[in-house]
Amino acid sequence: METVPKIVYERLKARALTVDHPDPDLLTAFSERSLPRQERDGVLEHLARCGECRQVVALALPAEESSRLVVRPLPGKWLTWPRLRWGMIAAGVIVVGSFGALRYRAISHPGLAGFEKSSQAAPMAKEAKIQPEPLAAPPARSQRKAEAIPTPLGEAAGLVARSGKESDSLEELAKLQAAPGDKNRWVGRAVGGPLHPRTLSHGPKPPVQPWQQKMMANSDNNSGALPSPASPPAAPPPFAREANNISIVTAPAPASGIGNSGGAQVSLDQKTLNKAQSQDTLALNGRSMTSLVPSNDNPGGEVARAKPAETTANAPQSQTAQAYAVASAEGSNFSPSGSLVAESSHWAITPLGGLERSLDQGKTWQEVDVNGGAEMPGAVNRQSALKDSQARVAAKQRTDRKPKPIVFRAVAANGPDVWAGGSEANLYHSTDSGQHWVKVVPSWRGIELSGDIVSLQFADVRNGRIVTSSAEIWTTPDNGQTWAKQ
Amino acid sequence: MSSLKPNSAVQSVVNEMLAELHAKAGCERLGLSRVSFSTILCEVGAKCGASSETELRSFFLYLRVDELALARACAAGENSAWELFLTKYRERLYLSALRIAREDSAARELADSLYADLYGTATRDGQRVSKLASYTGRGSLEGWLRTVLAQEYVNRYRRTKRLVSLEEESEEGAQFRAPDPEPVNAADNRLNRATDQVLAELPPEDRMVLSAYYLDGRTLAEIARMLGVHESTISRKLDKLAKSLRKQIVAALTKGGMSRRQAEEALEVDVRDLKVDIRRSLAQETTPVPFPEKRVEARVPEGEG
Repeated sequence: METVPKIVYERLKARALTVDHPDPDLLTAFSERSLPRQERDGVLEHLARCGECRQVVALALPAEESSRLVVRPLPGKWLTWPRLRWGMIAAGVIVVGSFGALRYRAISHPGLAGFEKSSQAAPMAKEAKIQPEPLAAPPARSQRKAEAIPTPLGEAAGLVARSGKESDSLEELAKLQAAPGDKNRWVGRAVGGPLHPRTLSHGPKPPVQPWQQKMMANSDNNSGALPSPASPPAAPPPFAREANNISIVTAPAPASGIGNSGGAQVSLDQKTLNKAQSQDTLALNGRSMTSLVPSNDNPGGEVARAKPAETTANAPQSQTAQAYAVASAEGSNFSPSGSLVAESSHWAITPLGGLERSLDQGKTWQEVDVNGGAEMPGAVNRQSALKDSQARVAAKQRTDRKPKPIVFRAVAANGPDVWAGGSEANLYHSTDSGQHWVKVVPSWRGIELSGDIVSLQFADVRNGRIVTSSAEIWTTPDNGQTWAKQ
Repeated sequence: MSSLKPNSAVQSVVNEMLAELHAKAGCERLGLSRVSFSTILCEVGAKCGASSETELRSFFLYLRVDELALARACAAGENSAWELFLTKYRERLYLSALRIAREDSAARELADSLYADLYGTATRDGQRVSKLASYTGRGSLEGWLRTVLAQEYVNRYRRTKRLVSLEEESEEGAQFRAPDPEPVNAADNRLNRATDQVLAELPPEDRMVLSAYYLDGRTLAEIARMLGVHESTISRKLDKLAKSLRKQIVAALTKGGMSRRQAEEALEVDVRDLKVDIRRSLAQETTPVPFPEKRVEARVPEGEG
């Protein structure tokens, strides 16, 4: 080496540098990809020329599993292109599928409703057409209000006379009504200014407390419409009408059925509230009152019963007596004290016999049209007298000035399954919280249900019970598919 | 690797980062003092070739100081470090040796000889010299051990190879030896030059892939793992290269004055011939250089000087 000229030495050195194998360190770092680009290129350059180093690198590769762990961190594995590709395909299929399903439902559902409408409603409907209700109602337990139905005062007075008994006080009435099993129930009454207490009930009479209720007839001659004392907190207040006239509103309780099964619990509410409210208050409020008398021990709590309230008023043209009773559809949760389990949709009958639904626990109400326009506010002016199961005959009188609209008397709901019944055996059923309605005509052995439906009870979705003004009791064990008359 | 000038820069950076790195490496546990660790870091930093301070800084940050400290503590004869090293790597070392040698007895022999090197049986000036002293922490210690094993194995193979008969050698083929350089045919001169030129223009990675695939006959998967990429990447790269190389060589030939037809004839328009061409150009190395076996010994005086 000493003899070699310096330039040769330099050349050799240069040559040796290129031929010199990289450190194991460098090769390791190269395999582990932790070299900066420059050095990596240097190593690659060497590897391209040096078979042995390629051999070394290949031999020194870690075992398969560990190499995967080292080279590709685990999280990255899930984002590899093959997985993403399949994932995207799957996502696409899901999206298309669900879209198709939605479309199918959207298309098929109205068609179904239309079919039902034509098949059922057409032959049977007396005066109502079924129309899908555009309002969407979330399926939920509903709250029902049974409402006294206004009757022309004159007729109501007649009725009262016929009934032969008059209740002295609302409170008493309420007590009577609240008594379980009591068949004689009295629905609220409106009392004119100077009281004309009347005994309305036939039932055994508890001590009667004199009670006065003043009603002021409305300036427009409406008989005072009375907010039922039973209306729970959620019940909308606007039912009170200023009544200038003194009127007596009586609502004979519908007969037998109620006693058996127990009507809505409203009566208890009424009772309590009646107690709570002094006559003075009532008088001061100037509201006539109609109280509803459902029986109170309904196990299902499902029933709201509207009792037609006979309103007797001085003013002949009184339109409505309004009483509100709200029943909760909360199943047996219903509390007699009037506390309602607030749920998403509540149902009620307006003073005019319309069907109302509240989606916000009673803060606001919207009218639900089962047949698209049959219900015209103000057009309802009919009264019906309902009879006790034993003694009374339902007196149903109409003073319709217009083609008869449906006057609903009762509504019952189990979640989205809603039944509404009213005058002239009008019975409607909705399975989607009132969006679509189907008219149902119960028949049994060739007999069709007749009279006004005054009470609807559905202990659950399947088992239902209807009481009519003609004291018929109809039951269904299968959500209205078949009916039996008792 | 002359390092007089960088040394001062390295020194300052090391001093600056010493506390952090010392703690990170867990030197206390290994019985490595700050001073000795600083010396090690300076030595490593001087070798790394990083010029600027920021480069040095990131170099030290990415350095596997804990494994470096362990290796150097072992090299320095710290018993606790050696125990730790054995519990951590003994098993893996044998497994790696087995994978490389593919045969148990050979694997044990390989691993044992490496142990001897690592422990430093050879002495110099009364001091044990451990191969671990050459570890700089740029890659993982485990990877480094595998690489050292592989080098050892290749060296041995070459050594034993020299002892086998010529017949056997010709039967087996010269797996680890680059083919002997053939005398350059004057007629092919232009073609060789053109090929060299085209190959030289390729990025080093492409050349490496070509060599590994055509010369070593490695599988796509192996090459992919060597480069840390996906197999399909290598496959695509090879396809592309095979297509473009021919075109480029022809283009280079026509540039050099050949007609296109001549050029194509010279290339013989055959993929296998193309391969042969590539083979020749790639295999430029003449004499195989054995991996330095006692590198540390060689380096130490250099570093001291």
